[in-house]
Amino acid sequence: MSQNKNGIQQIFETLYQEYSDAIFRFCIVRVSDREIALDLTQETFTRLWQSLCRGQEMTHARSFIFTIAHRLIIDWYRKRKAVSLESMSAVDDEDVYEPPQENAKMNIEMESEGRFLVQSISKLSSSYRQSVYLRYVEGLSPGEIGEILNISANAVSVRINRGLDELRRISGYAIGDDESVSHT
Amino acid sequence: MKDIRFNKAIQDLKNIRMTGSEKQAMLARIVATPVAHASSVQKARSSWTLYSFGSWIGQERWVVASLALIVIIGSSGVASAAAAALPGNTFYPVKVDIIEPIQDVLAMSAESQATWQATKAERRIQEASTLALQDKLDEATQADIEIRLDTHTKAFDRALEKIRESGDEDRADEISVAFQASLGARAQVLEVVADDDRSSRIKENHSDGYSGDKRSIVASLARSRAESVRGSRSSVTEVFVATMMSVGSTPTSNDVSRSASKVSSESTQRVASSSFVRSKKSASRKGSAAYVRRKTSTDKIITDVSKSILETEVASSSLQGKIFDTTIRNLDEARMYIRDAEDYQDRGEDDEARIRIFEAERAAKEAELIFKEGLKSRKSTSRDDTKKPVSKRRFESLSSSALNSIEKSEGSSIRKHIDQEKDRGERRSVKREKDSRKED
Repeated sequence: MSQNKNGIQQIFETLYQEYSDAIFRFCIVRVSDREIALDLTQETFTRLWQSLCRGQEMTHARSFIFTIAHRLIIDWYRKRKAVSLESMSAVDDEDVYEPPQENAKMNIEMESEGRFLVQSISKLSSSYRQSVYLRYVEGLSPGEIGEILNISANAVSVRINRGLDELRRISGYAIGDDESVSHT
Repeated sequence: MKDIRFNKAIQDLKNIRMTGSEKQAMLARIVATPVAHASSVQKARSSWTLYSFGSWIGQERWVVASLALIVIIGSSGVASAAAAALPGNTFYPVKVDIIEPIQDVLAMSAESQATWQATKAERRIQEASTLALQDKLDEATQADIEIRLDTHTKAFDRALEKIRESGDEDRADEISVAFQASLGARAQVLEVVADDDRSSRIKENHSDGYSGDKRSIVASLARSRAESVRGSRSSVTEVFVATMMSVGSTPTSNDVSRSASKVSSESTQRVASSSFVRSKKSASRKGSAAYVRRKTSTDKIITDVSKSILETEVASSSLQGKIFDTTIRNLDEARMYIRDAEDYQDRGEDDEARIRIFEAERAAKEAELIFKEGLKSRKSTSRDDTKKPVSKRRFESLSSSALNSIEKSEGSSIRKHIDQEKDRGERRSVKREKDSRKED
């Protein structure tokens, strides 16, 4: 039993080392707050840990972890929306990737170029933001993104292409359609 | 073509990461969390998203199974189980506090409300008598049933009042007569059965007439409620005496007679306040038409029941004999009320005549219902006979003595009352003859 647990812990630590930074990044870009991002990251991996311990099988660890984080972020937005009266508009899953407000300090230590990219992405139509981010920043495949957003891979491809067009217009980046994203 | 700035931006983004110490601390915290089992993990999830509910159901197969079970039981089982439930049963609260209030709401018109309240009151009496039969009627249950009965009769009165206000007095009277007859008949049958039980116990030297006494209490419950809607005072005194006599004849149990007399005095008060509701209303032409109709239908009931009694073979058991005896007594009462009504009608006192004719109708209907019960009791007795020859012997041996005892107890009081009424009627007719002679 303990041997089994040790094995699980080993698998978990591998996944943690590999994806914790990506999840932290995914969270901090969306919530614009380092502390909250840390909390969400910890919660994400706690759930992963629990799932592994319960013996739940997972075929796509990466998309599974991103899915947990994605849903936690949505929950976090919902909770926050519930208490702030100024934003009474309905929150749907697509709309939660909120643009950082102009005046709000982005509590992220980042080089100017990165900050510019985050701002550009946040100006995209809500349905394109996450597809573009996950594809180009995290290098996920359309299939994986589809699993996380709960849409088909084809729909993800369409969103990526249209999002990319918009991103080019907004940022002035000359990104090719066949842009190969390097991912480690 | 690669945009250098874009690559740089992505590289910048990728440089966002936790510090080494943050990472290590977080890992330690996560691994240290106790491994929650399925049930406690639910708390960690946001419990309100459809996703988490769905996944929870997906993981817990038993949830699906038990949900299905609940739906199946809820749709059919509980309703049918509750319908037959008695006080003390698990399903009884479902019956009286859930299913019946639903029907309260469903009964829209005042008329259906009145009939529904009457049905509920009859059910309570039925429950009480079943419990009495099983020796399970304790004081708490009795009090509970009494409270419910009061609620039902009050609601019944209110509904009747509504019908009267809407101008359909005739219909209101009809419903009220049917209700009184039904409860009155039940009360009389219960009294007869209780008396039979009691006398057989005395004969067999069992001093405790427990279930019999309980039955007579239920009988007085039914009676008091029937009286509470009845507008005639003469019948109240009759019931009062009858209850006192039947309870007073029990050799033991002071508390029984006390509670029974309490019920009776309550009923007297209630009737005193609610009497003459009918007499206040003036008889219109429509009323006199209704009078004729009522009289005809009552006459028909009396003739039918008398004929049936004559046609039915001689009582096969003492109990049935007594029940038939009660039927005949009720028929006599009905005939007497009809005679009275005719008297008043002749003298032009339409109100009084109307009250008498309703009493006649009530008595006739009671006779009809009691007769039906008598027929049923023969069936059940003969069934018992095949199973238990001992009880048959008991019935046969008791036949004469039991009949005597009922004559002596409550029967005599009613007989006396009827005789008095007869005397009065005769006196009246004599007076009328004198009057007419004077006019000549």
